Amino acid sequence: MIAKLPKYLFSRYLAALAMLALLVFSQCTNKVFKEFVQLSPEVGNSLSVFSSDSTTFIYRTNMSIYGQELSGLMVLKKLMERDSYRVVFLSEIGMKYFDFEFSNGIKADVFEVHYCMEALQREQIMKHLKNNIRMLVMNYPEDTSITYFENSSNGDMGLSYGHEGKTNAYLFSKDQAVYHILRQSKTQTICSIHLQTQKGKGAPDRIEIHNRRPKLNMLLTRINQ
Amino acid sequence: MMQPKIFLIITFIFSTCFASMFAQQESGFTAVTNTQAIKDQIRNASTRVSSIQSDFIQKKHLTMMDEVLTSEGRFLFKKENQVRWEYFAPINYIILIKNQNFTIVNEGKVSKFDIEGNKMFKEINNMILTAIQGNFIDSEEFDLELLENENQILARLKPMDSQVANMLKTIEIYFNKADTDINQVVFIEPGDDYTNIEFTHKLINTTIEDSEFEIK
Repeated sequence: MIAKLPKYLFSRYLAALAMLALLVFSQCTNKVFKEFVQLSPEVGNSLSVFSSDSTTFIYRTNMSIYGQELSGLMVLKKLMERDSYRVVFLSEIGMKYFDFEFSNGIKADVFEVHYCMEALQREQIMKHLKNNIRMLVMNYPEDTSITYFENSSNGDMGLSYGHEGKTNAYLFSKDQAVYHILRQSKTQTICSIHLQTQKGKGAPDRIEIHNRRPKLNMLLTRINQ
Repeated sequence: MMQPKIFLIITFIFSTCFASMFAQQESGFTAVTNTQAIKDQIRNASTRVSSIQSDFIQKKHLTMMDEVLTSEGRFLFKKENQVRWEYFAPINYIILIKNQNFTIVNEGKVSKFDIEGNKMFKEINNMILTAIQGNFIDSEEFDLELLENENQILARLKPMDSQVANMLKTIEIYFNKADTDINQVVFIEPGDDYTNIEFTHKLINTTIEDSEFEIK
């Protein structure tokens, strides 16, 4: 059908498609940043969810996946010498559920599975665990472009990363405390993370992670300060 | 689907803890010369136990970091089939087994499971009973190596099941030679992370109220 269109109509058809795509995308982004003003795009960013001087963050963690519950401790460890994060989720009795490492690559993010129990080794679960935790540790490829936003009424900031065809958006206060993270496709929010951080702590006290599909939720409450 | 697998492993770990209780880790172990006598000693000690009360300190060592994750709690066992495994710090978490019921209390949230109605929990229950009765000594699920030094016996168990072996490389149980009590159990994982559970303030064959194995 497209092949039968006159050339000038075909160009208009393509332009209309591009406009539509742009409109859908901009509406999606605008929902997050509807009260924000876009600033000039930049590469590189110093924002960190875990900006504390500490290198080890331990959270009491409850995870529900497909209606099943897993609980225990989540340990996030900054490995300064390797510019990476090691994230281990343990049961109360010390048994590991998973042990992942997230590193900064130049062109691509690096994700290493040191261990993952067999029951969690499903494509959809692994994909969401990887994306959810990467949203927290913010290890993106070095050449990822970042768009900044500013809320002129209260001074809050926002930034968005283009990541694997999705947008990861961060909302943070003037003191750099991230309070909301979203992962969005062009049409919907895939994952939403709410964070609570006491002023000056440099790491969230409470993290709530909600995924639409699969229904994978996590609640992390910090137990070491 | 996922939960039974997880609980199988969790209970496998528990069951080896319950097997006996009490030791101090020392070096200089050599192979036991009279294997059958040591096996009989462990088995006989298990049959004499009608109840166990003990505090415990659990230390998780991860190769990726210097810090040790320490948990504390209390363990209770009463014949024939009642277990309370309770963590006080840094989290509140309880596993209760009473007759045919398996209960988990996670930060106040109670989940109950009927062992008979669930094949997996039934298996778990059997494993715990087997372990407490010392039958792991003859179990085909482990490759057992018995070592000794002047004061202790070390039972080193290597899981034969590939699913379990994927999670646990070795389990080490340290017994006092004199009374066959266990002080320490060490779970060593394939990546050399390990969990050390040390039992303290142990009381054997004292009275434990049945209410300890119920949620109040």
